Amino acid sequence: MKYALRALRWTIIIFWLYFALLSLTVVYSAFNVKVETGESQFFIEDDKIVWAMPFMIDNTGFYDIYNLNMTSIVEDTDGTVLIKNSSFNPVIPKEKQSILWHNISINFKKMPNYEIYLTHDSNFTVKHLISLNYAKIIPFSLSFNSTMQWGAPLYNLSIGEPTFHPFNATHSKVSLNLSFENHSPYIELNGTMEIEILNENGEVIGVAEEPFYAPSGSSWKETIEIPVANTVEVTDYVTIKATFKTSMFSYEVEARRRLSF
Amino acid sequence: MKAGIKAVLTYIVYFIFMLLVQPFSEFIGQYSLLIDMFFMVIIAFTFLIELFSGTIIKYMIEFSRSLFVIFYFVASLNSGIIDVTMENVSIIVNLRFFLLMLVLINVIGMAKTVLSAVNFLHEKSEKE
Repeated sequence: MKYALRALRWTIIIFWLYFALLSLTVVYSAFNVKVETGESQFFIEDDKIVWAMPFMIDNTGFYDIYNLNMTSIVEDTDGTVLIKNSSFNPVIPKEKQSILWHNISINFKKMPNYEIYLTHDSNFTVKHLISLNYAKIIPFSLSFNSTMQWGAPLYNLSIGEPTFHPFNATHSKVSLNLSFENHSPYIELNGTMEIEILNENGEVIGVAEEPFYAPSGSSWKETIEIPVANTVEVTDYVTIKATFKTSMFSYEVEARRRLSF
Repeated sequence: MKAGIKAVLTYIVYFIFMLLVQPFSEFIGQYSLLIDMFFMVIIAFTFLIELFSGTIIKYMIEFSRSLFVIFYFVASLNSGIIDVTMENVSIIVNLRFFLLMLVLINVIGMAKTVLSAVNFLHEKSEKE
């Protein structure tokens, strides 16, 4: 009996020592993990805007950091998930530095109802989730929200009243004003614009294509002249289809207007 | 006398612990009452164990203390999941490994107490 009691006593002592040592070193090490954020970078890559954030993690503790996962979820005001991006680092060894680039890519083609955000300003909620497993014994997660103001690149897009002008023996011209404001602080619009004019029978009576350029925060306004053959039927009311094509998106707007002669 | 000294020593441990966690008072602010209560109960147990030393009641109190520590940590650590929310920042720490170790140590402690009690009774009957 006495040997069993002695064995149990020693077992308890060893376990308490291990527990105390582990607790102290884990707390000490956790406070020795330094995280610094670098300067964020915005750039346009192919068909998306990339917001890249560098995180310098200096693990000067006694334990490794496993499964570091950073996720950012961009939601609309009604909670619709627009963008979800994750960055992952399987292990940051002890006494090592690691740089984790966390990228938030805004790809319009992958966003639900992206047309709304091309013409309407909004406030997005960005949910950041960071999770890791410290020393393989302490799963840890941190989450916080921030807001992001969204400026529409084609804000207040308007198609003016078209006017019909005779031009020469074979052609006439339809001129109309087009305007918008580029409210986006990130997107510099550079692309082509296609205009189609359809008569009331749905027949295309005139087509024009023009390049357009609108830097961030600028207003864009232009009078477009579209040649119309004198052989086609021009009706009092016409439908104007304008398509804005950039490397990031293609946006089509349609308006029915009364033609002034 | 001995019981009082042991209780005072436990109080000193509590005092040192509180000094050490002072820098994190903002973080553990909501748990300060729980920590105070834990140390008060442990001081009481330490006093009573020493007071009833040499009797079977000592082992009963020791067993109760281990049981109290297990239930206390399971309840106060929310089964090992600490969820703290400050403004719009939410932190979740999974301390199940530590909780498991505490439970294991105290279960072994309970087993030791039972064996000690049996040994005490055996020695007592042998003396009689």
